[in-house]
Amino acid sequence: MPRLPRWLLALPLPIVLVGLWQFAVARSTFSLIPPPSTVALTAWDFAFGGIYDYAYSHTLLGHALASISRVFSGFLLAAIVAVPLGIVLGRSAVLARFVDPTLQFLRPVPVTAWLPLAMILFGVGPKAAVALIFIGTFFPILINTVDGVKYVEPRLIEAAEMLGTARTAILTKIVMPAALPSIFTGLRISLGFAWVLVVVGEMTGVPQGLGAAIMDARNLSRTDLVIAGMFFIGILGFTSDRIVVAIGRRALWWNPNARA
Amino acid sequence: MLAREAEVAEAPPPALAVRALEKTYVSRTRDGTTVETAALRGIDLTVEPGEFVCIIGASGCGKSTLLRIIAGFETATSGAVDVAGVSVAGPGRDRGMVFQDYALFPWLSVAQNVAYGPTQARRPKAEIAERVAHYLAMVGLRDFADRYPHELSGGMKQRVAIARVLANDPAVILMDEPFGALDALTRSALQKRLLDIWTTDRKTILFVTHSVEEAVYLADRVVVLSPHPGRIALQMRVDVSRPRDVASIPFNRAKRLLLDAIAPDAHAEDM
Ligand SMILES: Nc1ncnc2c1ncn2[C@@H]1O[C@H](COP(=O)(O)OP(=O)(O)O)[C@@H](O)[C@H]1O
Ligand SMILES: [Mg+2]
Repeated sequence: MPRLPRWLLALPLPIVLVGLWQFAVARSTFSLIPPPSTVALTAWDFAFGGIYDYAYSHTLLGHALASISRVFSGFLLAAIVAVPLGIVLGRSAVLARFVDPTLQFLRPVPVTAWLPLAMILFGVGPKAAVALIFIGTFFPILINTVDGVKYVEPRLIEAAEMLGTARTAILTKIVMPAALPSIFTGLRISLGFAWVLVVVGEMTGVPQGLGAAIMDARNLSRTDLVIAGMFFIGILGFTSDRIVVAIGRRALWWNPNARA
Repeated sequence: MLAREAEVAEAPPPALAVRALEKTYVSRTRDGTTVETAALRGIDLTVEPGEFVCIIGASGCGKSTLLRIIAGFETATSGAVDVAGVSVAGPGRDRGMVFQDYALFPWLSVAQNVAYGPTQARRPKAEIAERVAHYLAMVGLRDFADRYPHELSGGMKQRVAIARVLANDPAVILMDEPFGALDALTRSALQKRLLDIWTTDRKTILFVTHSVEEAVYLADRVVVLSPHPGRIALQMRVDVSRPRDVASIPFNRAKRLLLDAIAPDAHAEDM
């Protein structure tokens, strides 16, 4: 039997789901949910224009770029702070004793609970959304980095020592590569979460962004546009995850467990 | 007096000297009290340059502890370890360790694993490449230089681990049940290969095993540890000419001798 390409196997489920959706809304004469065909037209118009010619025609790119820049600003800032901090905390038990209780206390606070505070500190606007993403993605990256560093196999460190690795080089030669799979797991989880948070952050009244578009569409009772916006967020989240996975695979080709 | 001093200066120091070594592990139990485990008591052991010494003993009698103290991974409670006349404090490149679970660096290729030690020592590039090629050929893995550890079988991984230690040129090679996790066929193939390597390189090897047959096959001298606490119960020279044939009469006579010395009544194969 010839092997089917993997992407082909992923297709039947969404086709079935869209079919069910069409079937469900067609049976009731008056439905609050538009059928897939209407959403498809709206999505096309949102992306390329030429169908409805209203305020949202052909505006997808601007909204998407606004959301993408917020997601990656917050995410990259969090990574730049959390990865080095995690490495230090994972290596130094003393420092961890100073910092860990505070972090463990802050961690269970739901990140959405930070929203009012973020809005007070950064105003209503893109900065609040970035701050929210920073806070929300910071902890998964930090915790996975600390774990990866802390649970490096002691054998590997012993092997490096008996082969003449200088004490100061153990961190870069052994600990960091050994912790990389765990760090990547943290980055991947975080980036997915960042797409959740950007929508929350943009629902606070920023003019641009997919979250803002969805919120406005809801106020205008344009459920088709709400669903179209959800669709594009899904596409962007999916694409950014694929990019992280591809980078991870290149960096972690040696790890048999990293075949996501 | 003068003559005696000259003699002392001329005699090369032993490759390895363990003197009055004791180790007590102190561990904390759940209710906060401490428990002491006497792992090693009064260990005195000398290994000459180029000698192949096997340490044998039941599980839990302190074989790994002894090797780990010599390697510098563990500190002794008292006593001293000298390598080539120099006192040991912490791990160092003069003592190479081959672990039972290989401990290869999974993010490095086979060649990079073997090159790791010389690279840390900042040897010239050409010399490193030459050593890697030499030792990979020696363990029969020339064609696997660019593979990664997860692509190799257990026996191949252990050959990489051996090449990695050889390429670093230590004074003493420490091996802690290196073939213990391998199947019988792979195990005997690797024993033979290790002996071939030792015959050409004449490295000093301290090899831990719990198999009487493996010890008699490999060693110039067998050191038997007894448990609780670990002490040296006896030492026996293996006077069987090499290459040794495990089916031959002299081999089995030596094996019988060792078995009787360890446990005069029991007829145990493995300890
Ligand atoms: N890190 C440790 N902490 C406490 N006890 C230990 C530790 N390592 C080994 N021991 C104890 O020391 C004794 C010797 O162990 P080990 O050297 O591993 O023996 P072997 O390698 O001969 O099986 C055992 O009783 C073991 O339980
Ligand atoms: Mg052991």
